Amino acid sequence: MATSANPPLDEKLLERIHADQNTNTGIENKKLIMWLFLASDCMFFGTLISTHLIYRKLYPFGHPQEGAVNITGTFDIELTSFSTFILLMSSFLMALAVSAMHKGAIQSFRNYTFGVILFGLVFLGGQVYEFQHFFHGQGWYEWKATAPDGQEVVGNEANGRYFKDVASAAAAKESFLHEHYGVKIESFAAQKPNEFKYKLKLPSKTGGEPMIFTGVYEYHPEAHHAEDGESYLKPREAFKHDNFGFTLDEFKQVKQVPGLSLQNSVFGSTFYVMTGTHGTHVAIGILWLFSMLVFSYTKNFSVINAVDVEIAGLYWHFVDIVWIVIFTVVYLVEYIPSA
Amino acid sequence: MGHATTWKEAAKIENSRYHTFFNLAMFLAVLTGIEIVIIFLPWATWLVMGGLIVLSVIKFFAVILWFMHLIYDKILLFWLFMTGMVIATGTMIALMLLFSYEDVDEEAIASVDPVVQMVA
Amino acid sequence: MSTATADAPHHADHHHAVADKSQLAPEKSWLGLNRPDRHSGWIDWLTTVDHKKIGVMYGAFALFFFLLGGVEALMIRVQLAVPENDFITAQLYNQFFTMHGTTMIFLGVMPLSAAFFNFLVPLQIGARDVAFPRLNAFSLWTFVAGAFVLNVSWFFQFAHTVGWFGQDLRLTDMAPAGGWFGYVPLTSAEYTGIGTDFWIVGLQILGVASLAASFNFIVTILNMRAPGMTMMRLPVFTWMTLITSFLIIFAFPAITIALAELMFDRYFGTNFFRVEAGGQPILWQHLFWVFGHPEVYILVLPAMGIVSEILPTFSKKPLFGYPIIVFSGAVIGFLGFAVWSHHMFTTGLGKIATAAFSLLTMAIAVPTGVKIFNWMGTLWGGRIKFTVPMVFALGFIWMFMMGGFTGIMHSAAPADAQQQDSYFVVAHFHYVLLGGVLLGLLAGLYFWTPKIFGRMLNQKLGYWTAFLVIAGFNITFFPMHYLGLTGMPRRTHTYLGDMGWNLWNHVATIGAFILGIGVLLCFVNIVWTALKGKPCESDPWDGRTLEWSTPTPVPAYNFARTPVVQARDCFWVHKHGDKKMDFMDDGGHGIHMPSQSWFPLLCGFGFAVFGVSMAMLAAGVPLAGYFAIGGLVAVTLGIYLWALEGPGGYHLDPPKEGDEESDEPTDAPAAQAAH
Repeated sequence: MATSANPPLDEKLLERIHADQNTNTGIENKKLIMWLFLASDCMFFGTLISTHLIYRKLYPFGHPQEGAVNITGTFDIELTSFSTFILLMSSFLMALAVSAMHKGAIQSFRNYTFGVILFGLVFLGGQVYEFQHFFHGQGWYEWKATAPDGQEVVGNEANGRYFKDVASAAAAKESFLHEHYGVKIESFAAQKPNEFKYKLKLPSKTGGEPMIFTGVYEYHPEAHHAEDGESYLKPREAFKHDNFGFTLDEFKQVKQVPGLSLQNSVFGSTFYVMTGTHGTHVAIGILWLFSMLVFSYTKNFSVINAVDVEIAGLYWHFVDIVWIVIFTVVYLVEYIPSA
Repeated sequence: MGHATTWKEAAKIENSRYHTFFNLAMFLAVLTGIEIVIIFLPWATWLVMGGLIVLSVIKFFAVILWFMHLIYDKILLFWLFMTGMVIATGTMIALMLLFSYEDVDEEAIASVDPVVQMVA
Repeated sequence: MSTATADAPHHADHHHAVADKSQLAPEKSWLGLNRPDRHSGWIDWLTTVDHKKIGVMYGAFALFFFLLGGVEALMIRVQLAVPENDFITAQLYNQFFTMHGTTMIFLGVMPLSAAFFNFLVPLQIGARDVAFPRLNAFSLWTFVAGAFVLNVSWFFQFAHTVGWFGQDLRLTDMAPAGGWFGYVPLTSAEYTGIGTDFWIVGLQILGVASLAASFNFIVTILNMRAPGMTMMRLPVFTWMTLITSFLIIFAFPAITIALAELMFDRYFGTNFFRVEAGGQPILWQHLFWVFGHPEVYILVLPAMGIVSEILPTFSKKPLFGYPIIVFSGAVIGFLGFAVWSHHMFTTGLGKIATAAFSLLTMAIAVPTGVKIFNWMGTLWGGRIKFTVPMVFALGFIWMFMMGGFTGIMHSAAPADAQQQDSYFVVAHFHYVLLGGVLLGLLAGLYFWTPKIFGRMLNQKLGYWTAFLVIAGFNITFFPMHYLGLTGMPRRTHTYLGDMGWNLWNHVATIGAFILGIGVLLCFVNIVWTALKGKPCESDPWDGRTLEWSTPTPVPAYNFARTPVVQARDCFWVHKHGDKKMDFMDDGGHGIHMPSQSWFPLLCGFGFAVFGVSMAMLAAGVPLAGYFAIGGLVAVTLGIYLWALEGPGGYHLDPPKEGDEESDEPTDAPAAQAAH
């Protein structure tokens, strides 16, 4: 099965590999110590998961007060399922990488390991995205505004499109005002000094024809001496901050999923520390495999290192089984009603 | 595991494992799919809960036995790992049983500022 | 990532076997650097991977911290000598009892046990070294780093006392003051200062050291035994090492997580143990004792192993009921994970939990009792020689048994409710830990010092030590039973004169000084012997296990030829029985020795920087966070360089039997020379 990039298969090498198994138990020292470490790590994650589950049991809302966190609202089960799948497949590739080393196929080992690292990075990326998302929370808003020509415009906004912070509706409104109702500037041209003609497009929320607004905007630089220290805004920039001449009549939050942080709830503390520890394990695994991959291009690497690859693989699979448990007892059970 | 004495034999053993690993990976993916589906089914809580636990245990053992080679390796490794697993699981269950909501001192917690309440 | 001595054959071609490593050309690592093989003196000690040298260093550090912890204990006793004393402030008193407990457990008893593990286990199983020699050095230096981080807090306390930090600090405890089990909320950021941060990080680092060492010993014992050394032929001390190591690898993760959670509470404002946000301080107690109770067995099992070696040697009888002793040890280890809540009976666990933990606690007394009966069975009908180690070992049985009795009293929850947090508990665990563990370890010191240093400890001084230690110990701690039952609370800074406690507190303080003199005498004896003592033969006690078959001092390679073990107590059977030990053929290429390395020391250094910086971070020192990261980078760098330097190794040629030219005749295996 070896490709041309692989070293010649040497029977002596194979004998040397087996010499490592010449111990009392017939198990290589490195493999035995890895398994002991994993057995110990069971207790490590067991304690973390226990902490999480105990607090889940004590506080049905994830916190003594209702409303501090909204667990299923925070979770994004599609994304997490995808991450789970990716990690599972990385485990499959890892098994193949170990297998390749056992038959002396170093080039296929490299290919598979590259795949594992890639999948591991995707998983980590998913976790980073997820953490950011969870931290900022989500909100849904309804608003009513009057256009310069007197037209009434209504709409709603979901968090994530325009607002980053939804901890308070006031902050969201502030942010909203700066985000211009979702309008697009079609054209913006100077007519006279300090006067600009514009055309705006407001996409319809219901999928109908977009609304078009046109108007004239007067620009007075001295009026825009910004509070944040930025001196004179450019016309177009200043124009944005004037909200196109729209006036906001109503802005209200209809639904909110508060952000989840380490500090704002018990659930946040246990969730981030537990999944963060798992993520750290994944990151260490990636670093380890990457080092192994680089090392495989040096002269000191040979099929003798099959056992080194195998223990890195054991570590990687363990990280996967920990995720199997976390995915079930931390994510999935939250969706069972009255659980 | 039976030791290969030649590279040819090693290749043979490992190639036969490829199919095992592939089938297992697909099997695990399917089980994960089932897990994700059953949580949305209108079944009794105990049934869904039981289903999730059984499926996770199957996945767990599938990975440690095949991907982690325990089924091919010396049985000692299996028992070493299971010792850790049993102590960890036992401790977890005992801790879970030791805590109950009646122990929570509501008054002590009541002094906290309520976080933003849900709207609508 | 580390060297297995099993990779020996691969590097055989690089080096010719020589009789002395100073004849070798400097060895290059894969990185192109010279490996520190050929140095001698202190560089040799800093970079050594020899389990015997590592064991001696563990022992030296442990003895130093024993003295430190002892001084702290004497401070406590002086403060309590008379009612309403103001010898030290209440805060300093808290720091003394916290650091006394932490020091004695993590920096005294555990490393002294580790010293014996290191020195003896490879010798007892007929191995050349442990499975991962560099990892062993890593354990040592990481332990030193953790010990440094814990104790450097005293310098900050001193600096504060002389006014270097000004007077406007809110929390002025620079040394840990939260008790050795660090209950929250006492250890939360509201109530204690950076002392607790030193304590948290120090314990985390010590945990890394203990875990690494334990993995190493389990692999060594399971994988590196000489041919014929089956599990049921292992010396009991090695068995207890194995069980202790398993306890460590399953118990330490619980404290690691508990400490990490506490650390997050203190550093990042999480809510694990913050009552006001729904955290449950009782969870800390549970997690701590999930670790803490197995920890008690981690402390006592090695001492039991030592005693199980000494009693048969001086009774001239095999150990009575060897399989039962081994099995009891394993049962104690396993049950040790199921009794933790007996430390928490007064927290209101509920009837069922209290009853369950009560019953399990009573059950764990059974295997312990079985062991005591087996030791008595060993003594029964033996030709007992009252040597110094034997006196200590007999003292161990009696004192440990008394500690066990009060332990059974605690297992009854209603009785425990009266005794909780009183001096009765203090008496109980000092009978177990001092009367049990310390006497066992001192017995081991007197027993194995001839093997370690090749010199016999002064026996007369030894009998004096035994007398002073046992007498002083009983004078100190026996009255505490009475003090506790009459209501004297544990950890009280002082007490009123009309409580009826004056007399026994005074007596206890006098006893503590007698004990202190005894221990000091012992340490003086050891240091004096190590430097100036009278050389002795390689097998002065007519020993039974393999370590006595090696020449003294033990050569770097331990066994010139690997022994083939033919029986339990193989060396005894070899000398006095009908079956002789065989020796393996040496293969003619010398003995493979692992190369030394700087990188375990670098990792230890990184941990020390990390630990101190983390405490500084908590104190708000600018840039401390960067130093903490720098420390972790140093650790990572150490691990990488360690992996990349390659396993290395060279070959030594042991002197042949009857080799006239050899100028080191002691290097001939004593076992073979004798025949």
